[in-house]
Amino acid sequence: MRPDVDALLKELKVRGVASSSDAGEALESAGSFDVDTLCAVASVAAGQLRDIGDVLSAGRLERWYLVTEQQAYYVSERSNSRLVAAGEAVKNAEATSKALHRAGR
Amino acid sequence: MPPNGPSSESAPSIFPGATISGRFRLVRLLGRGSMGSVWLARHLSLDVDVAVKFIDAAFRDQKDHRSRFALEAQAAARINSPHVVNVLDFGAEASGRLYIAMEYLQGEDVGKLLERSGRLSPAITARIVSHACRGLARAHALGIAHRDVKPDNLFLTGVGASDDEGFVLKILDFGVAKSTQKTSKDLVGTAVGQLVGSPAYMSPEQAHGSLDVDFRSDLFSLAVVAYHCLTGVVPFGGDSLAELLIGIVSKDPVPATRLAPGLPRAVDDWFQRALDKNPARRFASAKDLAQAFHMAIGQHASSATDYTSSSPATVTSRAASAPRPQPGSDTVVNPATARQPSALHPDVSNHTASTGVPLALAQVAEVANVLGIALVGPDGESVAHHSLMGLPAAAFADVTRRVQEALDTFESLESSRSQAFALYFESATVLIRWVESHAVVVIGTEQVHPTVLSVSLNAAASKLQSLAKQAGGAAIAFRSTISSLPDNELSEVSGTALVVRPSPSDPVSDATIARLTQLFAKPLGAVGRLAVQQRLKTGKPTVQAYPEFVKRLSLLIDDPAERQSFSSEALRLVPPVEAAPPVPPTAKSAALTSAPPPTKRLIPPVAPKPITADAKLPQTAPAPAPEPNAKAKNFVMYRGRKIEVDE
Repeated sequence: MRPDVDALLKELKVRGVASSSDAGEALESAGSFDVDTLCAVASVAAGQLRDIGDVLSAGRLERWYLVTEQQAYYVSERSNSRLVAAGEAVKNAEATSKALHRAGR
Repeated sequence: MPPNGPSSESAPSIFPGATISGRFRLVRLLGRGSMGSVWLARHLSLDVDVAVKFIDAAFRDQKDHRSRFALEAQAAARINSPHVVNVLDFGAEASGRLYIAMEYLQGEDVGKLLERSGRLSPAITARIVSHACRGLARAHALGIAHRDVKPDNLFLTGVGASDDEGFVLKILDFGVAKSTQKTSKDLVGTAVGQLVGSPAYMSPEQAHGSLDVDFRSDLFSLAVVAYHCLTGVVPFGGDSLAELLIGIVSKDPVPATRLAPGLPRAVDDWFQRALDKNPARRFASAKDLAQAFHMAIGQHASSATDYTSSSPATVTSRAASAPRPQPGSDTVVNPATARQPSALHPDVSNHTASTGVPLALAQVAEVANVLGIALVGPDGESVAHHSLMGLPAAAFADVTRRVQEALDTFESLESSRSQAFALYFESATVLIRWVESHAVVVIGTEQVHPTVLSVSLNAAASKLQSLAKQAGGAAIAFRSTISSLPDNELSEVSGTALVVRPSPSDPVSDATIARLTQLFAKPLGAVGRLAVQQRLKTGKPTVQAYPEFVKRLSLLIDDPAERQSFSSEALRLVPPVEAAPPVPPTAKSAALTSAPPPTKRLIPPVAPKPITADAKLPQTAPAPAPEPNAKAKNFVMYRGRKIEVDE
């Protein structure tokens, strides 16, 4: 099921939500943010992060997030696609990350 | 690319009032360099001042100089960093003379500031290093090495501005830059033996005239600039060029603290690494170099407000004036476990030992399903770690390095500092919190409760932050931890542990081989990596055969000290094999053996024992041989691994 990015934008209270291909090509987006760059960056980073799973024998990469001083980025990995979101830096990024991951499942 | 203009000499076309390509009107000459001149000009359509750099007529028909000039424009335009001068246009004026139009900067370069001030405070130097590293990091990420980092090419805008504004550094002159991406079409060839760069700030590889010059050469040169800023002199000198070059390739600089006694001693250790003759032993990136520098002088790399409280010429280092930590309620002097003397400072022994850091880590380790936690320093090495599953310190460092590399791509989105990161795999969880340039890394199973762990980790991070502040800076607080922990290791804090003991016939893991290869590449570089690969062609060594494998590799290292260092580090990756005691058929082990990956903690949480100043801190690997009368151990299978459970 393809997630409704517009609905997610409202639910997560973030600045932008997008779905992308595994290669980082933006497919759908809602909100105001640099969609193409975030999708591309997430794709590159995901490739490197999967290697950590190999090192730890930890299996498939499911979701991840990064909080900086100003922003928070959330990524939910799907079989051949990815859901990304960007918002303000928050203390409880965990809740948003989980909600994004649950979306469309 | 520049248009092909006429090559014949024509009447002088560069003079005040001249219009260049219909775009700029020259105002006045700003200065001359070895290859050309720089003019102040007015951009006619934008109506702003710009700086226009022309290549001299003598060079304009020389292909290599034209190429360099073109590369300078292209390199600076591609980098697009607030810390690299912004290129606005590139072309040829009527007589065919190439020009680059750049933003017009007002201020002065570091060279002039040094001439004026002699030496600079650690705070100003830190800001210079930080800004230069940001610009260089951007260039290096694009595969561009500057190759002529020196004070004259580091321009400070806003010098002399109001106290609140401080300065912004911009890197100038990518005229001798080189693309390190071999496939790039803009690779500028330089003949073997040709010296490129400014001699006093050259790296050893540049001094050798080597073609194998990459970003690490820039980092070396920047360290020379930092040394000049802090001490007022360059680290390598001589009465002749030959003497200077010999110094660069073969001599160690005088410790900076000897020339500027107010500097923290950690600065010498930083210079020792930053100015290492071997590029492989230097800092791995501009970011690492900047962070380590701030740590060395006792400031945080990203706390820009630390530098902007007064004008550059008069600001003094807060770190330098901060009180040194005194033994108090939180820290106690522990001479028995004091830091090992530094190679540069054999008399260093006055570090304090803090138990706060290990206790903060131990509390997070008590969260159910946490497998281990570590504090990883800005140099990528584990400062302290607490493992419940035998995860070595190197594993935490490796995970942190990989996460950092992955997150570096986010710099294209924003430049602010990372604070927290979480990674959820099918059967593992990794959480990282950054505190004062250190990463607190937690690895747990997939069963770990994310919110509980996150809250616990935040509490630990706050504790570490507070410890750092109390001690006057992270460098001091966390170095205290190193001081108090032999081998930078923490274990047995809770009194219970799960220790992974692979079977002697098991092959060593890929991660171990990767780490071993890294270690071997330190002394032998690419040759070392090849040697390991050659030996692995016949199969990976078993755990039992690993020490012999290491020994055979070590014989390839000529230097006895390096050989010893490699062997001891390599042997720590795989603990020596012990005779496994018989597995007692207890109900607990039977239940766990047949169970899928655990859904709850394998061992009940036990409150951590406080570590006191005189507590015996356990050595790390090699693990002690079991005593004859040692009590029987339980073994369980966990994800295909045989695990010993201490009762």
